[in-house]
Amino acid sequence: GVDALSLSGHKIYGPKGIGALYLKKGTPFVSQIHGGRQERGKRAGTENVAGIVGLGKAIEIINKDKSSLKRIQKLRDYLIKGILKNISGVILTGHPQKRLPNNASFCIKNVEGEALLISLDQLGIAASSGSACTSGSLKPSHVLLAMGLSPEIAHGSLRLTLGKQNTKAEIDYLIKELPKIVQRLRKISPF
Amino acid sequence: MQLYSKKVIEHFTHPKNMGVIKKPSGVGIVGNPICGDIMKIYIKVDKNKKGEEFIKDIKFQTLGCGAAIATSSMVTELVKGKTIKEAIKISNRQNITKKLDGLPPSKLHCSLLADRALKKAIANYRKKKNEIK
Repeated sequence: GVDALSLSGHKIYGPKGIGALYLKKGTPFVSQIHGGRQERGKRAGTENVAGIVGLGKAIEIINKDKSSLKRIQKLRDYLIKGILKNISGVILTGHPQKRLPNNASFCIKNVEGEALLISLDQLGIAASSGSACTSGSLKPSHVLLAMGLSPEIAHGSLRLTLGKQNTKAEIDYLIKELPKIVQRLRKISPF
Repeated sequence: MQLYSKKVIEHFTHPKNMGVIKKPSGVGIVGNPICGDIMKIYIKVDKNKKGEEFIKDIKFQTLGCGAAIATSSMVTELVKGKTIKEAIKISNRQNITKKLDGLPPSKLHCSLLADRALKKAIANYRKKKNEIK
């Protein structure tokens, strides 16, 4: 029942450089890219046919593979449980159930997001953060701020997303290593 | 992820002079409200054989990104054991950045912050000294 929904191909194992916008009929719309009259005047530019085909295929594939989603969600819930249990001063941002099935995001007290990412990267773990220091503009994630979090809390943000290739062993590895990283960074911090 | 030099990563992974000084001669705290990093520097000042004030010991604590931790670690390494006069001279953001083999443009402000933290600690020491007199 949404009025508008945007999606990206690369988020569903499709090609990069393609996305789609769903607009409920009657939703006001102002074209952002001008020039030619492609897409019924909604978006100028010769269409990326190869990308469109790829996106369509990606959607077709994930629609056939609903079991992966269930498995990923289970892993994700296991991850959340493990993090909340083994690290103090952590909050889960967003609703515990009403969230994307592969997304786990936290704010960790007295550590900074980029420092977390560097430490995780050194252990072969890729993650993301909404901290000011991880953005080119030095502003914290506008999403976190819109959710009501203060810039100070957003400072310690850590976002982990799972894909169909992730395994329980990898989650266990993260749950084992992240507390040590947090402990080390908290030791360096003045708080 | 930023493109950090090996030296920055080294200071981030193995910071120098991290910790507190129990009875510091001076303390400097700086915080950048924009990106939220906080740096705290403690110094212990003593007189050397020539009677000059020098930084006998220095420690830092930082809550911040890789560049924040690296620059505060580096500034302590730069000035430890130097006289206050020398420390004020050699501590500046260009030197700190240079000794770290450079910083990404968006992180240059961290070197400024680290320098300010040190200068604040020295100012705090001088203020305390004058108050005791």
